[in-house]
Amino acid sequence: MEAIFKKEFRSYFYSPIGYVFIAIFFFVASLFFSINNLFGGSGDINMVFDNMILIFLFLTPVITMRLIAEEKNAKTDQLLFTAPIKVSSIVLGKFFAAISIFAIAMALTVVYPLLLASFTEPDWGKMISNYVGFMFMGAAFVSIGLYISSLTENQIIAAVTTFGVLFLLYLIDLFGSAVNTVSLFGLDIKLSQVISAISLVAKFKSFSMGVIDIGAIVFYIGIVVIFVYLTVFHIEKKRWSK
Amino acid sequence: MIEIKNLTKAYGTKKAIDNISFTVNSGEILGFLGPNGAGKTTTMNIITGYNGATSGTVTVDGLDTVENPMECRRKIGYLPELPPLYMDMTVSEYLNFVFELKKPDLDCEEHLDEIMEIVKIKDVSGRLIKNLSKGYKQRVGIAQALIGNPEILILDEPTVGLDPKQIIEIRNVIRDLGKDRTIILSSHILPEVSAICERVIIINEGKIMAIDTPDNLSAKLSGENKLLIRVEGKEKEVTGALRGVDGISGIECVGEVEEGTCDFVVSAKKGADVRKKVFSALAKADMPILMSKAAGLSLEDIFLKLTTDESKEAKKSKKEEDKN
Repeated sequence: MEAIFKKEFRSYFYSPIGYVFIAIFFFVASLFFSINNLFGGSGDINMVFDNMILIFLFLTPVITMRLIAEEKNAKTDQLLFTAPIKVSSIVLGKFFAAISIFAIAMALTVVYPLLLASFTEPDWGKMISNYVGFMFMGAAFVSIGLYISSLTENQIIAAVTTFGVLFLLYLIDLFGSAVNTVSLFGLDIKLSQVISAISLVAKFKSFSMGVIDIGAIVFYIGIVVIFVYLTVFHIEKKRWSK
Repeated sequence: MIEIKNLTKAYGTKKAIDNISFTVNSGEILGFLGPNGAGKTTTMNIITGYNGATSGTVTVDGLDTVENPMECRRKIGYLPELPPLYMDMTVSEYLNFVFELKKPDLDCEEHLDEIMEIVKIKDVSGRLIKNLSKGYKQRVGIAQALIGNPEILILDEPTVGLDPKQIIEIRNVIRDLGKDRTIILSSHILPEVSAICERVIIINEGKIMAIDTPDNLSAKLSGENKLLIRVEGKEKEVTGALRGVDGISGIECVGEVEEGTCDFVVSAKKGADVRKKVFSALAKADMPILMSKAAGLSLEDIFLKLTTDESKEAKKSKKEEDKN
């Protein structure tokens, strides 16, 4: 797994992808921070984090699209899958490499609370819960992108599909507030509740309020486990299909 | 060393390989010959564990490749048809990565040094793989397969797309490697297989057509002695002059290559050597022989004979090709 992780992590910087991802992420996030906090004179960083979800929605496909699709396209998967190493180690190595790029981008944003601290005493607890929640949510996003990347040989298709799925997950909250109750088999189901139960973004709300929500963390980890497993499963199934 | 039993791989209803069985002995170089789409790559992918088989088993040193995948993979070095290279890496970065991936119990630096020496890529070790020529890429591909000193090397069309000089170099590398390793090599280029391999498997449409040494295959299938001659003179006159010669069972004109001459295939009866008689008969008729050579079946003929249903038709089309 370490070999794959190292190779994958480095390959983000052999090509411009790693730099582009980090630079755009940091630039746009800083723009929001400047407008909201510096010019707006606010000590509350929540707005920045809320907007960062949107940025990350756009940028996740950039770091996940190539993970498996490119190996398949360049036939380098033949090296990986005939080496004495398990498919799960390969997939996990790739997953953690993508998470690391995400973590680097997040680490840069630590500048914001530090800047705020020079003007006012920020709510450190809230800051920390925001970062914790964001890391876990990001991991869930990445795992979805990883899975979609394993479905195709084409990076563009992987990127577009990943963006579509993540965007849908983001919008699902809006649907929730639009439709209230549906009757199904005589049962009244509150659709908004169902949707908020599966919504990745809604789970983040408690973090932004300063709560480290164990339930939400378990939910995000569950998403990661499911999609990493699905990725491994899909690769194995493809290879062993009869 | 490697035992393949009743291996079948089906994609939907189409069988890529159909119930093939063979063994590879320790230390031999085995050629895997067949037209495109015959099932060579599929078979190799299954042996290396890249794909699963629909039915049948592959055992390496008595270990089943499905039940003990890790042990088996450690024994096998695989060069797929398209070398699995990361274009953005330099040669040494790439080989280091493969070393870390395979994690052999060896000193990394020393081992890679040794391999780069064998395939002669030391002078390009610092260059990006994408900037290398095809020949060098192929060598890096072989180097990758050699990491961890596997006892078995599986090379899928190792010389395809190379120029003649590179082909000879790669062949020599393979021959050297074959001295202390078991090698399975696939190709659709026949002279290559007869030049390197000790045994040949001819495969077509997923079925094994023949397994033997190149020489045996040639002897077994040719049946009678044939002599190819080029004579100055007209077709009818030459056939007339040769008609009375003892031991000849057939004369066939195969066309005119040089102006004023004719090429003939003279078939001799079993065991008979007609060369001297043909010479004196034609000398008597004042028709000089410009060229004479044994026309035993080349691997190419065998290949066509085995892979085409009607061998006569195949020969005919081959002759037409020769003419052109």
